[in-house]
Amino acid sequence: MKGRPVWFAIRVLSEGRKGVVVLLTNTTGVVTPVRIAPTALVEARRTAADLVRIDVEGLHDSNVPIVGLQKLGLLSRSNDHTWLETVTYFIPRQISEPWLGDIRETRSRMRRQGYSRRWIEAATASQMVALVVHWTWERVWDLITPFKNRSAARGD
Amino acid sequence: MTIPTISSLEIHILAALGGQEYYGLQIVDRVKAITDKSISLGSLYTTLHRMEKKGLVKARWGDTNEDRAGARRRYYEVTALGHKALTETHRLVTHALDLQPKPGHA
Repeated sequence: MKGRPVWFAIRVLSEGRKGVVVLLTNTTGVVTPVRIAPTALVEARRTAADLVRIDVEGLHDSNVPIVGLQKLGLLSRSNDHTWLETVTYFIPRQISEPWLGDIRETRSRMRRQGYSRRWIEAATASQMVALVVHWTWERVWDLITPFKNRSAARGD
Repeated sequence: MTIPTISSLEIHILAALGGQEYYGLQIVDRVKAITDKSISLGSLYTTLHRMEKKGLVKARWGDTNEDRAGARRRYYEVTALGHKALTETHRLVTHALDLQPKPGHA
């Protein structure tokens, strides 16, 4: 049995960065909260019905029969947000930090509204492209028009 | 004091801010409500950064929450110069409209 992934579906209530916390109800009716580390998540997919299928390595080793599952906190965002942070590496913090926060907030809002993971990724990608294009254009504009620097047009 | 010229997006942002202090997503929502136009967060923040350098708005770091995973909000507010730039733009537009021939007059 060791190494075989376990599949199950859980209701989405909220999301956190420290992995998945589920309430496992064993055969005697005892409910035990278990946190599943982000590294244990092999795959996670959101469905249209606001359910998440997660493929977890090693959960079967806990010797807790999965009778019922209830969700407390959800998927790690450390993995799917690393690429976002990488993209904003060369952009000033005054822009990148609030932008990153707003993107995360929007993604959470979209998850709660039941958008599919693919749709959320597409929306994020378009926002990311918009940021890179606008930022690049600002820099290019300042380079080609040093006599009319929009970023240094402070009038006092 | 030279009053900087402002773009249409900058006008929208200044109008959305009004006399209050808002952060990015709130500004996007307010621009949408006022003008029915959607702006991306990328264009919003690069424009706000430029406006901050021009002295049209001032910003401060705010709070964060679990959804934002540690990334702080940045709140923006119109400065006196921003208000003057908006007033000057309004004056120019009004003047330009006054110079236009009135409907019915050849």
